[in-house]
Amino acid sequence: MKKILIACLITAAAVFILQACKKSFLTAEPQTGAAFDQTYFKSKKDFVAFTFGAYSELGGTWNFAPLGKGMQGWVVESNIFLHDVNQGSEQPYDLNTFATPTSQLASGWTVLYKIISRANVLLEKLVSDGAVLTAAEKDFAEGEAKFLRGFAYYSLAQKYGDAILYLKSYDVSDAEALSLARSPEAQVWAQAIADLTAAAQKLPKDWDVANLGRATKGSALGYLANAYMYTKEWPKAKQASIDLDAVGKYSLLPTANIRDLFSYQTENTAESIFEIQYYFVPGAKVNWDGSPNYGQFLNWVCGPQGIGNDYAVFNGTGAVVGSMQLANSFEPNDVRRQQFIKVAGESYKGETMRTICNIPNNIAQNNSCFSAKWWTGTADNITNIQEWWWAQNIIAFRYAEFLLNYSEILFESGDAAGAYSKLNQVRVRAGLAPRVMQADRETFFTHLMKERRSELNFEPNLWFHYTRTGRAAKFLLDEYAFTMQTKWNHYPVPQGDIDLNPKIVQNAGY
Amino acid sequence: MRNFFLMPLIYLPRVFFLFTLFSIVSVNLFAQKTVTGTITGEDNKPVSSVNIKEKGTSGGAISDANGKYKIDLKNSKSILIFSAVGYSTQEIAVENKTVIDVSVVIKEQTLDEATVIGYGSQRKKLLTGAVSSVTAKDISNLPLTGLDQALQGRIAGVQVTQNTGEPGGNISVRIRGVGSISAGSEPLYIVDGIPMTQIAGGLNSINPNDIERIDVLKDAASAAIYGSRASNGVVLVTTKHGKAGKIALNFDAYAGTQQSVKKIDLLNGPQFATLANENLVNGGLAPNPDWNNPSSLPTYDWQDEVLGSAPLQNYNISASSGTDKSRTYFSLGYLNQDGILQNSHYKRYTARLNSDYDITKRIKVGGTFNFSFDDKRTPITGSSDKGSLNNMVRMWPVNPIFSSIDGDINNALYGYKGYALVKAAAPALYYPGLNNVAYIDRVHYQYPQKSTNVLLAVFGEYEIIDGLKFRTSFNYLRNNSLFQFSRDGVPPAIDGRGPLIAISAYSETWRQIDQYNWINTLTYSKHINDHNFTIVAGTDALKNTYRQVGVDGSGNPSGQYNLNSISNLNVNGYNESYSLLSYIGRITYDYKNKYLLTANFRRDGSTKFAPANQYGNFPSASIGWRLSEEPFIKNIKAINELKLRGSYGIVGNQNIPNFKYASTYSNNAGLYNYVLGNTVVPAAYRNNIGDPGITWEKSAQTNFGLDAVLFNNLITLSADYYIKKQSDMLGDGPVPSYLDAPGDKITKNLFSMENKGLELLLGVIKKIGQVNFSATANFSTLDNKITKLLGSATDYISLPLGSLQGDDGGSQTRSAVGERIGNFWGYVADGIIQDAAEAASSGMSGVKPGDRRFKDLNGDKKIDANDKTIIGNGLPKYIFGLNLSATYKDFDFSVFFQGQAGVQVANMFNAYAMHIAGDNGFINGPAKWLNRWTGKGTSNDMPRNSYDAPSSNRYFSSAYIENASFVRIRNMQLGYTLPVKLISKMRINSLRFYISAQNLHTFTKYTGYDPEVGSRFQSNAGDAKQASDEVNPLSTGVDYGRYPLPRTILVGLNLRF
Repeated sequence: MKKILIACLITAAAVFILQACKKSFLTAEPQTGAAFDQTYFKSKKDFVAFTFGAYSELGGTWNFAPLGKGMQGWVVESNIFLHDVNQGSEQPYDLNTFATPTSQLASGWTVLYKIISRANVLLEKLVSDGAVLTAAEKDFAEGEAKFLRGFAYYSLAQKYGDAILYLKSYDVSDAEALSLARSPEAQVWAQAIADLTAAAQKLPKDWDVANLGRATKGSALGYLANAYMYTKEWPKAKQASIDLDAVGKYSLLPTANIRDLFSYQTENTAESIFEIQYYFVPGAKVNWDGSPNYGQFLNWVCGPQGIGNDYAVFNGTGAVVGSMQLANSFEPNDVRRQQFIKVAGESYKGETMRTICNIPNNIAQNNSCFSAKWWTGTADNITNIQEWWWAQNIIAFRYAEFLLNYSEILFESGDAAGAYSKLNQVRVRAGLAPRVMQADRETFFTHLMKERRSELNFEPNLWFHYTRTGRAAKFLLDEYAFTMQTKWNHYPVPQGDIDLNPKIVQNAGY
Repeated sequence: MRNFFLMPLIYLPRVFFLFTLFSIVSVNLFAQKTVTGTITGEDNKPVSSVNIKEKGTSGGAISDANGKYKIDLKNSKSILIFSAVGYSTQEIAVENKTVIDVSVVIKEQTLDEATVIGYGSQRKKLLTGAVSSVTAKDISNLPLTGLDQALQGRIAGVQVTQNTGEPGGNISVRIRGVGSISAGSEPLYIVDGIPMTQIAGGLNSINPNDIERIDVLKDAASAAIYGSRASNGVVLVTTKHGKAGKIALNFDAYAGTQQSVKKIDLLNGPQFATLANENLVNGGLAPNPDWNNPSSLPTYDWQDEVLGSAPLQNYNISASSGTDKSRTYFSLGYLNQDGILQNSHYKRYTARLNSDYDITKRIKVGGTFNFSFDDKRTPITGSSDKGSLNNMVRMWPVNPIFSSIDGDINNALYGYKGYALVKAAAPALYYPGLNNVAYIDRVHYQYPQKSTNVLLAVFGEYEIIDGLKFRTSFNYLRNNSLFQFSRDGVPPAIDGRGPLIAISAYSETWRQIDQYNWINTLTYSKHINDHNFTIVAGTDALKNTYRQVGVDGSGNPSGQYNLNSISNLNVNGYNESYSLLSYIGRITYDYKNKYLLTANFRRDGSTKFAPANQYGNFPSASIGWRLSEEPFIKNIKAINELKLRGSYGIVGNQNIPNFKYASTYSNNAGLYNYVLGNTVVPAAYRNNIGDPGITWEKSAQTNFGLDAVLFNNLITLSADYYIKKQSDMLGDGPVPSYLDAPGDKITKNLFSMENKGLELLLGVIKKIGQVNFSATANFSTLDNKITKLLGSATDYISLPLGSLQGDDGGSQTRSAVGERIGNFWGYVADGIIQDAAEAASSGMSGVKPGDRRFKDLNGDKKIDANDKTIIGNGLPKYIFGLNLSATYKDFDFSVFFQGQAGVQVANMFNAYAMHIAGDNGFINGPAKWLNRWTGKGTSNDMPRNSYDAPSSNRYFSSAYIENASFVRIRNMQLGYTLPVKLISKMRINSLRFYISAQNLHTFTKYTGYDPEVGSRFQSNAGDAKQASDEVNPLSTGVDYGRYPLPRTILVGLNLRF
């Protein structure tokens, strides 16, 4: 009997001990690599890191590159050329890509929503956990979140038109989120304008040197003016432009220093309004998912194929080259042609450009030009160029483009003289004579678009100036005898999202 | 007639018995206090270390090397108990004999052996679940290097695949098929009660020489006692424990050489140059002037330089001793195995101490301690772009491997550290690839890893009252591993091709896994008349912590494996833990050992699930009926044992990453960043959006079984049929990309799958003249079907197989509802287009005569993605093993066959053969290119050889798929044991020499190195996390240049003192 008692006691003790530790025993905290939703935002550091998490989607290895997810509007001159010569081929970066909703074009949508999602989380957490921040820190964080969300909705409206408006952080309890329909483009613009307006009020004029590259008041005002340009609210566009100039920190680089716009050594210049930051870490691991995403691939994709590793990473792919029409479109003595466009026979940094490629599927290069904005050759090499990525920042929006937009805004506001004065600032900087004011609308736009083409080729926004102003079709026909399809005014929405949410309607024609 | 045939079998034991009786009777009739005798085995050789006990007393003796014993008796009319490991226990009444010679019988067929079933053991004849065992006698004479080899081919329904042939390499064990899509299919391993972690290589710490037995719990009824970790079956490993008796000292050693079995028939130098030039000319390009005179070109055999012979040696020493109060087993082991692929090796040092103490009659304590250190190095294999074997076969045979020149050799080559490397200035068109020998040898990508494992298990047992035992045991496991990676820099002049990178790099990662586990059980056994009960109840708590620190950087001096002189340091850390808290219960009942019943229950709580969802219940029940105990069968002489079994149970799988249920934020500064100016700053993001509702994967399993022993123990038969229905399998549920769920997916309980199979085990033991013959055969079918993915009948999961040079990038497996998991998905090759008319009607654009044609399956006169179909599967439908052994006088011989059938391999390794002009220049090809299409009717197999050949010639199609059925002579062994006369003077007990061959021959039609491909496992990813990743069941049977299994010839000895 005594022994049975012992048995019971031992059992009871064992069960008791287990029960006592049960509660803590089955509690586990993610210790590294993750923190629970409820416990992550504990200090300024967490808010800032999360903000950078949103920025980093802008800056991914591919995200802003022409071959990649962003599929920005800058490759138009090269794409058409490749398409023309390489009929039937399925170059992924071919304008022909527009014909089918490929992942290349569609995936920009995904990247932009990543930015929106992170901004949404940040704005909610500022409300629930923002007490750990000072008022100024809170303002800045809110300003950045709203700038990033505004920029993303701006880009969605610009590239895709109608878009899904989703303004909260997602969790699985939100079943409705799975079946949202696209809101009309006007609403998307309204959201972008609301966010950018708020951002312009919250963001600082400048960050300190350690924070170069974060969005500023000027960044917000610049995109705000652009957004009003899309919605044709010219007075508001003009006011935003005036406000941007009033920030007082932007100017064109001198003609002699124009090369500094596209150089690893000189970044975040006075001309830069919003600049995507890249950095090369020698010896850092390449990570194909884009993290750590310090560099971009433009030097590689824009380098002439076969040029050799001393001049371009991996010999260059020659994937993004320019047409001879582009090279020949410049006026004589245009500094931009001399500095940024290279054709065979010309010298670049001590090297004579040759037609190197004799590989059949790249015969395009035998008669093409290269953009020296991104393919920067030897002079800018830092050690170990042989790594795949390239450290040069990508300027998303700069003062020269702003001036050309300002010119358009002023013209649309009835101020032709003002319009030409802005236009001529850009021309004079390029070493050209100023144009004489012409009140005729078509003449003005011919001048303006010509200037945009010379100034902004191989930069993120050129193509959208053609589509926004309805001039894409004529441009393609005149320059390349190429028939524009209406659907090219917008990109296709990812088919995967449509499959999962049938309420999403694809853009017409895709 | 039948009786006549069986007569020798029936009468043999009787004769034997009479003989024994005769021995017993032929003694002095005077009662004495001392008894002596000789103990012999069936072969009339003396048997040592037999325990002789006088029943009811503490007196005992042990037989010596000559089988002799002497025991002083306390009572004149005693009963002596003779017992020894592996032999049946005998009781013999002394009466008035003084000499008792005993012939002991090997416990070959006895169903009385105790089978380990988790938190206890059960006599085999009373088992009701599907439990299969491998015991020391099956494997003790085999030169095994790992635990997996002990299992391979020996148990029906257990498929053991070496995913790589590298020494110490990764293996997959599948009990009754693939158990999960995303939560892992490896069984739970319990070694001496210690649950091993699921980290690859953890089992390497167990020295196979220490294994006493392995019991595999295959059905849910047996495995349910392990609840949420048991859905893939449970492997229980028991190591050797000391036995009462004098010190038994064993020394086992073997040494030998391993060789690469196969060479792929490649083009030689002149053939390559001829075909490469032909390729250029046919494509409208100028030929390479260097190859103008092909016949003058040399041939360098790269395969010979990369694959060679390698030594292997293994030494084990063990000592076992004890009294009836304390017993100890101690062993040391050393394995040193070089790989047949240059510069790979595996070294392992092990030590084990198992001790048991009977403090009092009722209190027992004991412990096991196991230490191992292993040291492994291997170049990358099985990777699409960096694999050593892939590159080896692509190397230009006209290019030298070595160079004595330092610097320029000619236009294309550069002498560097004794190797000939390719210079960047060489035209891309003529790019001959990396110098693979340099690559795997010194210059690039070395991944050494070292690992220390410590296992400690202590227990105490107290028998409170008769039949009621309380047992508490505490288990601890630690793994410390160092993973290193080193890459040499090379001069920029020769850099820039493929992964050769100018800058040197080095990284080291330290991993530490700690696991502790506390188990308390109360066991009560009671016999009431013919009713026998055993009840087990207990608790089990387990906590596992994983911690990792990694440092990487660059600019290290070449060949230095330390951080001292490295720059650009980057540090990252990883640290997490999980816990399990469980309650277990089991009732075993039988009536007259005839009607059997077992019921298991386990309740598991796990941190892998949301707090509200942490617990799951896993019940099972099984019944058995020993027909052979029924009077109407008992009288049938041919039937010694006949049992029917049936079981049903539910088990779970919780082997998913931690915190999948929760929404979490990445805050790992090393992993995710942005830059400001030129400074890297840490960034964070939501790295998981969790569904708090996720729960265990469940597996409901039904099993019917039959065990029989027939014809006076001549034949042992076991058959099982099972149906496993896996449900609530965790899968990635897609969500629209606009919600920014990482990877656009959320883990939920989504998928269902079904596995069915038949397992047969047949054993025969027969003595024919002086030959003792035994055969064991097993055969299993594996039938797998996905029954649900997201909900629709047309759902499927695709897994891209990666584009290896030579395929269009469309290679994939497709796992669809209603089909087997991991089907290869591609076009059906339909020969070669012979003329223009065939080209026009092929439905393919851009093809010319000489190009590959595919079947237009949907008949729309157009070849597109809609014409892809199932073209194969890498999971075998049938697996089998056959072990034959015979002993004759002092010789023993055994041969072990193992194989699989109904299985295909996607030979991605051979896909390069689809063109000579690769994406980055020319590559060498297989000799079958000599049979290329050169005009109508010349070939219906190899396409034309031209630079402008369309990529469709390389589309992933049935041309890549090969039959991977094989029968392999896994082991063949001839042994010779020295006669007793000889060795008795040498004071040793027994001495056996043997010669053994492993993987002696593989009968297969597969053209690659080895048909046993397994699941994709990229060896030495250089990252501890990745190295521990499970292989992917969706890509089973895809050959990316897997490290082939060597053929091993070795000699060994077994010495017993």
